[in-house]
Amino acid sequence: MSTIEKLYQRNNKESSPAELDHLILAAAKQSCEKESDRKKTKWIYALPTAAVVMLSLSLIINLQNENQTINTMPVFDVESPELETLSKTKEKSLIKKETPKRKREQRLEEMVQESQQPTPVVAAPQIEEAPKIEAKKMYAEPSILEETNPTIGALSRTVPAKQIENENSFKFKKPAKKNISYNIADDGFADSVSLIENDKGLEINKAKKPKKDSNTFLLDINKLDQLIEQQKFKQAKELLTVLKQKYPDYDFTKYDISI
Amino acid sequence: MTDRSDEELMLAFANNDSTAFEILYTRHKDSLYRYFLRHLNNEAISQELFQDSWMKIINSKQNYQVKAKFKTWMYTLAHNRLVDWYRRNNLESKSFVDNNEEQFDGTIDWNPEDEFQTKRLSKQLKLAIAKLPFEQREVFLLHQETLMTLPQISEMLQLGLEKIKSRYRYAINKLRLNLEDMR
Repeated sequence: MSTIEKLYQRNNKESSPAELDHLILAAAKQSCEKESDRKKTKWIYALPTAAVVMLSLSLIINLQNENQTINTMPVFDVESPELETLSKTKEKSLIKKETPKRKREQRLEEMVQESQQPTPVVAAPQIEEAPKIEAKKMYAEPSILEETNPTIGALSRTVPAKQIENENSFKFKKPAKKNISYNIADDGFADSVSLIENDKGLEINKAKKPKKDSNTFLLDINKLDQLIEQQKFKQAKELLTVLKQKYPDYDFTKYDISI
Repeated sequence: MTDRSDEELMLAFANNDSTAFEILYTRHKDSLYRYFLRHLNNEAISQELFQDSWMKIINSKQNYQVKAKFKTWMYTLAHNRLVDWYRRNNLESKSFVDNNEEQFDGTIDWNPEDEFQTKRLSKQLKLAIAKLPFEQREVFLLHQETLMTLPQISEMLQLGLEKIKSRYRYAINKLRLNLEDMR
């Protein structure tokens, strides 16, 4: 090291001002905090954004899947023979999804099966007749029926109104201990009746007005049964022919035999 | 903690470790300050440029990559800032052209035991440094303040080693002559 260098190093002790040091260090600290804040804020915005994207995507996918099932599912008519065959075959898996249409079809199947079996007699405690106004709402007038189908219309006149009313509406004298409620579907088929407490005691709510098709079917079968009971075989035979045409899938052999 | 290299500290600072920056700053603040002070011979401007340089370091922490030594990178920033300042103020130093090739051993009549003489000579030396042409002053100060070797300075300034050596030699020679004149 030369003399000049030595001399330079000897008295070379100037230092940066303390104020400036504080200023620079504070700036460095602030930059670090800012950076970490920015990282945090990134997460704050990124998380909800990701969640929203995920939710909307899943919603879209769900909707698409639902549409596809509806589109690809075979359309069954109420009276179509395919329904019965499908339900018994391996293709049953195709219509496993619980869509309103499928529900309706299942109910129809159950209805058909129930109608084939003899209706179990349930002993109800002291049943009173429901008001007639309610009963009128349930069924079409015979005149209307006559317009649509003259044979059924004619036959409907022979069925006493009380009998029909009794099937659908009841009133209990004694209040029931428990409330029992069942759903009534929008398609018009009541799964069951519901007991609702009121001032007059418990009374069975009337089932929603069933759809014309199913109602007519039950009505027709009832009429056929009554005609056979009353031994009006000629009329019964006529009705049976009509019903066979109308419901080709329904097994009328037992009526054939009884007539 | 203090055993960590400058590069490690700078990387830690890039990962928002302000303590690392504190260590780094303490290590280099004085030499950088003196680098500006000797160049400009003005405290206010030196402080301004010194602050600017550190702010530049703080702001470019995210882009810092260990391509060279931290010290080299820092003094490159400082050098660029200084050149920029000279240009802005139209004070660009003229290149020093000296054909005086005489060899100089750097010895002057100086007794280190004599405090009074030392102080006086030091003051004269600082004035002489300020009078040096920019290029020579730059090499001299980089060598003295950063303790970088001449090859390292040559790499930093992207100039040939011989040129750097020559500039340094001229600087020492000029300083000696100035000091002798002042006596």
